[in-house]
Amino acid sequence: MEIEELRKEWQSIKTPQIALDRIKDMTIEKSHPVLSGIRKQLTIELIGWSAFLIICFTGLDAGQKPILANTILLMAVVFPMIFNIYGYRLSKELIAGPDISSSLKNRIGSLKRFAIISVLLRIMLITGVGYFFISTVNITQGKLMLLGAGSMFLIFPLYMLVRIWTKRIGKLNDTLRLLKEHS
Amino acid sequence: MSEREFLTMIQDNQRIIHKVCRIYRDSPEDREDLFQEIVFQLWRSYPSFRGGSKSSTWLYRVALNTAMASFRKNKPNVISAEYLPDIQFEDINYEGNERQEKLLASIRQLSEPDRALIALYLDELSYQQIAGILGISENNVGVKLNRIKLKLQKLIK
Repeated sequence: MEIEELRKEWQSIKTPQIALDRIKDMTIEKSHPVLSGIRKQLTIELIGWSAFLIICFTGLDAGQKPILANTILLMAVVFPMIFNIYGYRLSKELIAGPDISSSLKNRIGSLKRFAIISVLLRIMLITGVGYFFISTVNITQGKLMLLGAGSMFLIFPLYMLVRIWTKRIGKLNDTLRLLKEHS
Repeated sequence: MSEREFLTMIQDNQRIIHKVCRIYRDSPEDREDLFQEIVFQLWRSYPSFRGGSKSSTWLYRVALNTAMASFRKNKPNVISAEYLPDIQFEDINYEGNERQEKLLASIRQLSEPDRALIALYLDELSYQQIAGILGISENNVGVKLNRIKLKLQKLIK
C-alpha cells in the first residue's frame, strides 16, 4: 500500500463511542483499577505490620530488649510504610514534562530514586527485624547458621524487587533512547 | 474550563484514545486498562491545559505519553466482580476491516516511539506539531518518518 492509502485506512478506522457518564467514571481515582489495587495492598501491609509491631512490643519481651533494638525495629517498619505513600503518588504521575521526551526523562529519574530508596528500606527492614530478635540472644554457630538460612528467604523477595525495577526502568530507558536517537 | 467541557472534549476526540490503545496494547483487557489510564491522566493534566495548543494535539501528547510510560499488569485475566465488563467496554475491541487490521498489526510491530511518530503522521499532524509532542527536532522527525514509512510498507506487503 502507498502512504496515502495507509493514511486513508488509518483515518477511516471506526472507533466506538463511550458514553459521557462512563468517561466521567474513569476520571475518578477510586474507580481506577491499578490505584485501587495499590491502595488495597498498602492497607493490608499497614494492618499486617501494625499487628507485627503490637506483637513484638507486647508479647515478645520488648521491655527486656535494648531501647536501641526497639527504636531500630520501629523505624525499620514505619519508614517503608511512609515511603509507600510516596510510591502511590508516583504511580499516579505518569505525565512529568511538557513533551514526551522530557516527561520520560523525568519519570525515569523519579523511578530510579524511588527504586533505590525502596530497596534500601527493604534492607533496613530485614536487618531491623533481625537485630530486634537477636539483640538479647547469645549467638552460637548453630543459631548463626539458622539465621543465615532464614535470611535467604528474605533476600529472595529483595532480589525479585531489584529485578522488577531494573526491568521497568530499563524498558523506559530503551524507549527514551529510541525516541531521541537520530536514525 | 469546567468538568462538563472536559468530558465533552474527550467524547468528541475519543477516537484518538481508541487508536492509541489499539497500537500500544495487544489484548482487549490491556486496551481497556490503557483507555481508562489515559482518561485519568488527561483529567489530571487538564488544569495545565490552557487551550494554547489544539485539544487534539494535547490529547495525543498525554495519550502517547501514558501508553509509553505505564506498566502492563503481569497477572492472569481474572475479572473481579467490581469491574464487570459492560457493553460500552466490549465495544473498545471493535474490529475493523482486514486492511485496517493489517495496518494496525504492522504498526504494533514497530518500536514504541516509531508507533507514536507514524500515528501522528497518518493523522496529518505537521512536522512542527509532531516535534512539539515528542520533544525532538523537526529534522529528526523527517529523518525518522522516512525510515518508518519504508519499514511499514515492507511489513504490510
